[in-house]
Amino acid sequence: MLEALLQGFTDLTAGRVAMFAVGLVLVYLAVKKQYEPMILLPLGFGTLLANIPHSAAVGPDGVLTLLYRAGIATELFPVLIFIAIGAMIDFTPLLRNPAMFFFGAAAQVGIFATVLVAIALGFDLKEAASIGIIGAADGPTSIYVANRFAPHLLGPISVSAYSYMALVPLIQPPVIRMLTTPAERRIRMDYHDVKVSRSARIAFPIIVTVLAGLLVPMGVALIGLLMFGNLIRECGVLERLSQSAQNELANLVTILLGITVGSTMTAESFLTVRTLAILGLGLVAFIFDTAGGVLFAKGLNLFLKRKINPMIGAAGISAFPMSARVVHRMGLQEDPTNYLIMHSIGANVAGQIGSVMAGGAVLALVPALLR
Amino acid sequence: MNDTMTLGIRLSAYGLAVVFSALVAFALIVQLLLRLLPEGPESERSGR
Repeated sequence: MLEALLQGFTDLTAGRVAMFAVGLVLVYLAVKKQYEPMILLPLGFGTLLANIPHSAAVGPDGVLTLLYRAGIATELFPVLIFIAIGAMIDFTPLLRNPAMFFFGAAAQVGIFATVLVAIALGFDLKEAASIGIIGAADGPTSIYVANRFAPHLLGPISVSAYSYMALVPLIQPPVIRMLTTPAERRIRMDYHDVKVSRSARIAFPIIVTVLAGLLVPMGVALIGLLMFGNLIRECGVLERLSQSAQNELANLVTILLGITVGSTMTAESFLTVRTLAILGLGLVAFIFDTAGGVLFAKGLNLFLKRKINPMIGAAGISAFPMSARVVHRMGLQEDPTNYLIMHSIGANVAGQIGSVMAGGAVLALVPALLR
Repeated sequence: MNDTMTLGIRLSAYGLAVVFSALVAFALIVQLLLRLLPEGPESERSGR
């Protein structure tokens, strides 16, 4: 009788205690540092729940296992998050300045560069592709791809993706400074207040869905539901649904997504050298993303009469709006009258489309290459 | 170079090609949309 009551204590291993520490660090980062608290707090608490010996929350009939089967294994949660994100995004700055699409593509270089580094470190193609997607700087896409190709790495990939997204204000500035001169950072860019009609804002998500779907059908669940959310926002007749998607849906699914992914972070699966490698590769991905965007802009400047501020390239990642703010702030540091925010926001929302397209491309290409 | 690295290089090349071609196509479509669907008078501005 007493043995049964003390089973939790007697079966507490060093690995489980270490995972308690990991969970508490995530909760600390969420509460004290406010690093992506909406996801890191549920993730950290889910880690605690999963590592209590004989926890009824996990295991064959555990509530978190049920949630995993219902929402992660089926890919339902990340996909629902996309509806919410789509409803939150205002594409107008991008529609006003479509040239920013280029940076949304260039900053995805980090994904593919990281895939190669991961393969060099001994990961197989599916694992490397899942790790590379951390460079999308887009949590739901990372979870979606990892669940498809490397579910055993879901925990470390999610932690890496969300942690580095929160650390964008610390990661990007040194990389940008290293690759640009003060004169380049002071480049001013004209901003034209182009009027975008409501019809264009409604047509945009529909056309993007059809075109992207035809190009990479495997990515339709991602891009399609992102654009569905945006159509709800822009159509102008579904204000209540738009608000529900942006608030209730986003909040509810984020809670469930975080705690469920956290429940996969058991000592056996998380405390490995590979986890350390994934955390390192996540950082590499964000650095490559930033460098890719900046260098692409510098390359374009060789051919352009009106130069682009190369920092805008760094905003082409999906971490919204942190990356746009970083670029805007760095511009102001060099010249307090140089406002880059509208350009950087445009590149940033292009990055959101770029990351989802990259996720779709990886989903389509990996099985085809392994065939 | 091992087989996995060769596949990784192909994945990177094709992946970047897909992303760039899609986003360039989107940029062109937006240009077209702005021309074909310019902001109208009152009905557009009023929102609904």
